[in-house]
Amino acid sequence: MRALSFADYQAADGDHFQADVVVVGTGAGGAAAGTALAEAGLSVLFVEEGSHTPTSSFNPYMSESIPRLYRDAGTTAVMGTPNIPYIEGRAVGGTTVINGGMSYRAPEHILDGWARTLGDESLGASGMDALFSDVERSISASYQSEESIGDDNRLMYLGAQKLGWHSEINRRNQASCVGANNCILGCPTGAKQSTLVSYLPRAVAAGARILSELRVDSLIIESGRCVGVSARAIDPVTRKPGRVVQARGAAVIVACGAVHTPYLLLGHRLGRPSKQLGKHLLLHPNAKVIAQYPFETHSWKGVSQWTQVREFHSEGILFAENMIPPFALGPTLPWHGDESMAMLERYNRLVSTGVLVEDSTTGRVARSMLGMPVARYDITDWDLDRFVRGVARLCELHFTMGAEQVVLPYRTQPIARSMDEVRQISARSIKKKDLELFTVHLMGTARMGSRAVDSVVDLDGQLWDLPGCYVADASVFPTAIGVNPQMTIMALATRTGRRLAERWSARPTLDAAA
Amino acid sequence: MTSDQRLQRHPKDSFTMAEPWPMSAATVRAFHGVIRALCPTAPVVPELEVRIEQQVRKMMRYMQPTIAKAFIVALGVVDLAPVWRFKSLKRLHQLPQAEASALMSALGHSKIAALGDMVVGLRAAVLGPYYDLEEVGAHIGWEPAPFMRARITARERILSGHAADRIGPFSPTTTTLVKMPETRR
Repeated sequence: MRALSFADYQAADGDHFQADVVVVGTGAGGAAAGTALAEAGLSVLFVEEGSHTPTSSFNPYMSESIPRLYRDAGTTAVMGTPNIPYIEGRAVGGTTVINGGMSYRAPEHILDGWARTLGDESLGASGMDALFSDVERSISASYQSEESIGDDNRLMYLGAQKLGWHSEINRRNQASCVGANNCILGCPTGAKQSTLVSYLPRAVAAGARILSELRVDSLIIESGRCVGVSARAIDPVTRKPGRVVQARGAAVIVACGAVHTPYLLLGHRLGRPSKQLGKHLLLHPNAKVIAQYPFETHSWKGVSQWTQVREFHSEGILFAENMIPPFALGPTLPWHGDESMAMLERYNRLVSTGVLVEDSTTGRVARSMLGMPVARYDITDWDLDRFVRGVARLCELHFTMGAEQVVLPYRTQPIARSMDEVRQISARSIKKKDLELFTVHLMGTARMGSRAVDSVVDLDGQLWDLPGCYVADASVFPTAIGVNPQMTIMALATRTGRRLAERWSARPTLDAAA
Repeated sequence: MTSDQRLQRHPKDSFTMAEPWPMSAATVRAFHGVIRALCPTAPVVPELEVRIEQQVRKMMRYMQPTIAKAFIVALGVVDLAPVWRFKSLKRLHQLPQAEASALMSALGHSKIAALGDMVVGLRAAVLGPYYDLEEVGAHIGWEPAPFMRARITARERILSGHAADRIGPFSPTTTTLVKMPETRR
């Protein structure tokens, strides 16, 4: 699979491209929508800000992997109380290249709720079933084989069993995964079925082209219709924007994620009918609990997140194992110098786990004067309470399995050596600003709806106030889904792509997209 | 790329790494002081300050320019911390390592949230590349490349219809704890 890159745009004719549809972004949403269109016979241009990094280039080191795969080298954060760092992919394949590979359908009650409130049965669980099945086949959503599972996951699963808690074995988008556990820096075995190795090769085989290393600055709007994007080629040495490149098509699908999609659209003052663009930011935040065991676990060996503990799902709380490499673990601990090393010297006895809490509030994304998006989100008192309860329960699991001590996500009380110490911590003794959270699930900032007065895009994903411009990423989620969003993004994006292709075949002219 | 060439730190795949973000000599001195204050004293890593400084400066090219500039400002603020905290007339980079490290801890626990966040940011910027160094990985028992090469081979065996090794268990304690449920496919 080839992608055009910076040098290609320096040619005399390297500043303009034309296709039926332009897709901005190659992650879960963009790749799925673009593949649906390409396989329906339309010419598709993917425009991607990141570079093309093949499976053979993935390695376990952050020194080059983070700059080449992560947006802003991983320095992105949502402002609020507390500030919440988040990560997004910036590479061909988007965040699917660096995610954990969880493959959950949105829960049935959520989908049925969407169908009821939006008045469209096709968004309900039964209406979406065929789409989800299609996605599951495309990314090989399946259970892990035993050869891939490490000791940390076994401890987590058995701990839940001992306590009588319900845990579920995850399906992951993998084909013969062997637990190399490098998901967050790109799978070096090619087992993880990110869009880089699943959807995009299919789209390219169907004639799609990928323009990488192009940062989209604006949409091209002519006669009230979206007819392309204007982008700048990024110089790989200076990282400064260079030549302006235009990609034109009869329709544009924006799939830049829940922060950069509204950022791009707000630049054109879109979303006016409802004024909801950029609002309703959902984060599905999580907090880390790191347990130290008296025996070696080598948690970095074996697949990440084989199971999730779902005993407290009715409260919007999930637990998951998620071992992280030293270069990510070291900076998240509340120490430096020799204290930091004292903990990392026990790295092979540490098990890293997380408490995920379903959103009870929303935030917003805005364009700042600094030429970058600014996201704001403040957790609620109830969220704090659920985090404290969730952390305590997760600690209980670890102490039940013999942990010596746990590192807590509280700046003011970072260590507990027994459940008695954990029980002394309550939501009243922890301030929100002292809670250390993190997220990878951003959603909801260009929500889908059946009425222009309370949504940003219609039920086909098209902006109410810009014909020819579609959104196909987690931005369109009408509500939080409480589980990992990858598959739901792909299913909705496939739906958007297919509906656009159907309209196209009915009227194969420029007007078809509107 | 053959399997022997896999997992290279800087794979030869035509990706061009950006040049380091420009920094004045004074900022580099301040940065080296912060690196010494934040990094563990053992294991001893040759050219530690320069290696981390160069790595971070390259990564700064990939950040939002506003964030990269804020990082420079943070280095200046922290370097002058002994002065504006009325603790010393020396700058942080001129202090002994233990004293500088203690000062960073104090700033991290400041009641002023912005100062605490600044230390969290600097810690992440320095300790990320630090724990990524081969010498440090070997010191803590994290050497992923040989393991991953073995897993690549294991997958090739599975794909060709053979059995592959399981991972672990890594201790007698874990062996007694572990009874695998039937794996669903």
